[in-house]
Amino acid sequence: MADLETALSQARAEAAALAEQLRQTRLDLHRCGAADMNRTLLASALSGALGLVAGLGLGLHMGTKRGK
Amino acid sequence: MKTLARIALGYAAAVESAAALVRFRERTSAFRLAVDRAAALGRPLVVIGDPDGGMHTRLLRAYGCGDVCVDLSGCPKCPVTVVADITKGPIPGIADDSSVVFVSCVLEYVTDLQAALAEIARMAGRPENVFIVTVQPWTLTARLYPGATWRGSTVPTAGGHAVQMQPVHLEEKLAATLGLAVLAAAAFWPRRK
Repeated sequence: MADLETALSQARAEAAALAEQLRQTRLDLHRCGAADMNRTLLASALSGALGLVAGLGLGLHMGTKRGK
Repeated sequence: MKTLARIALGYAAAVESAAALVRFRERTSAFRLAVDRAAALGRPLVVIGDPDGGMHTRLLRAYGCGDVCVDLSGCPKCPVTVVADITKGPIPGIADDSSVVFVSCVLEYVTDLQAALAEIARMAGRPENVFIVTVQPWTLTARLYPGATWRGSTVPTAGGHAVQMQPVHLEEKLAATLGLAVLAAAAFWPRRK
């Protein structure tokens, strides 16, 4: 009976430790995800701006050439 | 010229909107995690910052009230609210190392950042019990939102995470405002007939 109770309390402690690990992992995942999302947004904003400038520049250049 | 200025303004607005959306999602997800953690530890969830106080969150809430909502002017729509300044010493009714703390886009507007962080750390006890969401430091919102004093983000460290903020200088605000004003003028200045 005493063995059973010890095993049960050990299992409870392990379950609590695993639950804590899981929560921590979810938190880390959230932080990494948020950081990644922000990095992606910044990178896409910058590359989008660059693309827009290049596209407009090219368009204007072609338009001027065709006008001549 | 007019078209170019309009494109630039539209692009800036689109990027700011995308950043706001990302922030909204980050807040929602962090709040859910904070609720889970508070429930698991049997601690109250302290939310710092009125969930209905922001420009966007006034229209649609990104997070809830928690068990206690703390704000400089209170949280009128929350059941339990404490009117307090987190930079002015211990918040009444919240003991040391007793809570899980959720802070969303508040640190940017405090006068004394170190005092605010110390108070958050006091309530939470451990860094794992703190959930902080900040405005992306590279956005125009981080510089031009009324009252913005700090900009920065949380960075992962070996012992959890750390908050890295830098002051928003007046020159930055003026430069951003001037840039936007020039763009707006170039985009919408009436044509002479």
